[in-house]
Amino acid sequence: MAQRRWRIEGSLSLAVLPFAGDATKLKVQVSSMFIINCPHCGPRDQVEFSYGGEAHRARPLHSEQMSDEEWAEFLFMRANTKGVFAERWNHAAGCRSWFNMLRNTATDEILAIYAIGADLPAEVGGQNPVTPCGEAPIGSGNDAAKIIKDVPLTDKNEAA
Amino acid sequence: MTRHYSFFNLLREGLRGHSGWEPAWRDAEPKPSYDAVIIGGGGHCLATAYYLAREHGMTNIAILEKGWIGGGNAGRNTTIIRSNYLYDESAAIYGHALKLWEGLGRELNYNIMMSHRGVLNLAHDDHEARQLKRRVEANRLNSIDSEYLDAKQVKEFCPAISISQDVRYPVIGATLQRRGGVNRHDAVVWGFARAASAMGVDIVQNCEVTGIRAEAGAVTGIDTNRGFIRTPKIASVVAGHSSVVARMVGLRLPIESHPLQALVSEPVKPVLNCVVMSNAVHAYCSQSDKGELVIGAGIDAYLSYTQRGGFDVIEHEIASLLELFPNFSRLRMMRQWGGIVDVCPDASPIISKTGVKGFYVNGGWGTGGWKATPGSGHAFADLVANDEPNGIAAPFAIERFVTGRLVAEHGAAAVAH
Ligand SMILES: Cc1cc2nc3c(=O)[nH]c(=O)nc-3n(C[C@H](O)[C@H](O)[C@H](O)COP(=O)(O)OP(=O)(O)OC[C@H]3O[C@@H](n4cnc5c(N)ncnc54)[C@H](O)[C@@H]3O)c2cc1C
Ligand SMILES: [Zn+2]
Repeated sequence: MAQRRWRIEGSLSLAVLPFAGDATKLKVQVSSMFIINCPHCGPRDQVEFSYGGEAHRARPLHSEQMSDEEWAEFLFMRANTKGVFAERWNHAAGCRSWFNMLRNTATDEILAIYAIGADLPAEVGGQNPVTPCGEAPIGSGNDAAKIIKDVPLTDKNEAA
Repeated sequence: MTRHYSFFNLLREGLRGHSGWEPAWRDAEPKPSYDAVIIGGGGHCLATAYYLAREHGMTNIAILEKGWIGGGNAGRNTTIIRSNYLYDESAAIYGHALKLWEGLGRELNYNIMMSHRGVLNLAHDDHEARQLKRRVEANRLNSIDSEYLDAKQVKEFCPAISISQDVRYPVIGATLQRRGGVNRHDAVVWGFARAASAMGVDIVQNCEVTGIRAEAGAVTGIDTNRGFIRTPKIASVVAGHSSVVARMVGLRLPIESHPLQALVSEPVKPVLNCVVMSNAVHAYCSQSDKGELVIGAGIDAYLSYTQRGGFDVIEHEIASLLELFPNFSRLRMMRQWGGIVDVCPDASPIISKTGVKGFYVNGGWGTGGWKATPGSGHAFADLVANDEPNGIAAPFAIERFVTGRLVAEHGAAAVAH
């Protein structure tokens, strides 16, 4: 336990200290990426989880009838969203079950955790970048382009 | 005003209190229209601008950078340069780049601190040794210098490496590319910027591209936070943001963006004379001219644009490094950072025209694009100027994901940097 606490604080100070002035104004949970609330086991360190990529992608049933373009679209093309993004995670070093997570990839803020197969949660908080390539207010190291503000979330996940 | 950098001018300026140096490049205001616009201000972007102006006479062009030039992966990478890739297509572009690196400092009249100190890729078991030997032979067929060293020769070349066979990952051999090495990332960016600016290229900073306008399937201009700019050609070279910018013209890419972290230690006296990479242990390390050890490893597994990454990855990185160099265990780490790398499924880049006329993509370089900077810019400039890929760029067209003709360097490229 002591070991884990040290680790989290260590990473936080790395990310936050240079921007301490900014950080006080923020609602963003900087530690969110390090603690994932497994629906079965509760909050656990992110190292226990493995990543399953974009969620809500079903393998086509009749791939033999698909064109090369359609197959490439399924196999290779990705939304790679900057902003609110639905993705799959697996609690690999715990209960080993899969679940979906809604996360803001511009800030790493976790917005919702829901079951595989369930619909995207309707109402979640979070902030999308104001401009498509805007940087997160903390931790990005890119001080010249920190332009995330409170804006309504419009597009959640184009792949959904 | 003094422009040329030389010993004589340094002496002269030294005697007059360095009052005559002019800024290395113009920090330009965006004009209402250009013949071509390059999105991004990293190494590949500036190289593209430089070769567009120099080789194709296109000087009425601009690069638009949302922050400052060199603030992206160009300023965050560990600058390992080598060209010993497995496949012919990769050998062509990385080999081309390495040849350009060799003369670049002189050509740009800018000291890019290019150091051909050699790159070692370690083998820790028989299977890996066989793989590496195969790569050496493939490299030689492509006229790329590459050799295989046994453990004793590794020790001779790089005395810091322990070749004790009594450890978990014994070093049983390594490939060596003597022409490989490192250089100074900022100097490359600034050198290209200075040379491009001198030819008339506008370098516009603090200018974020927020949208792209197209009519009848062809681009017409670009929206930025500093206004609209008309242009018939848009070249996107935005690394981690490739998918976001491509989406502005409705294009989807096979790219995922991940944090990649690096760290540097406190400076110490010279201890490591070359670049050392290990695939099995998964770490790499070199020593900067300042004396800091520059350390890197793999990406954070999840998609993110946060330019920081998780602490567990650093722990792995350091554990791997100490597996190779136990004697570094007392060093303190000074800085850690992350960049967002644009990873392609086959670990090869995309240099391509697109379905939208006048929109060109250069991205997907992932964790290992720095070494390609001049070659990438050179080939991409050719594509943007002529609207047709040359022999080096052609295999990297985006169509390969439909035809299946991938350039699958994932397994072949060693730690991929
Ligand atoms: C930690 C780390 C270590 C690495 N180590 C190595 C290595 O040892 N060897 C190697 O070969 N490669 C390495 N790489 C990879 C290499 O850095 C990249 O492949 C390469 O630098 C990418 O090209 P670039 O320089 O043009 O990108 P960048 O410097 O990232 O340029 C892209 C620019 O586009 C700008 N931009 C984005 N969106 C917009 C917009 N909408 N409007 C305007 N501008 C925009 C960004 O601000 C950025 O400056 C490493 C990368 C990282 C992160
Ligand atoms: Zn669990």
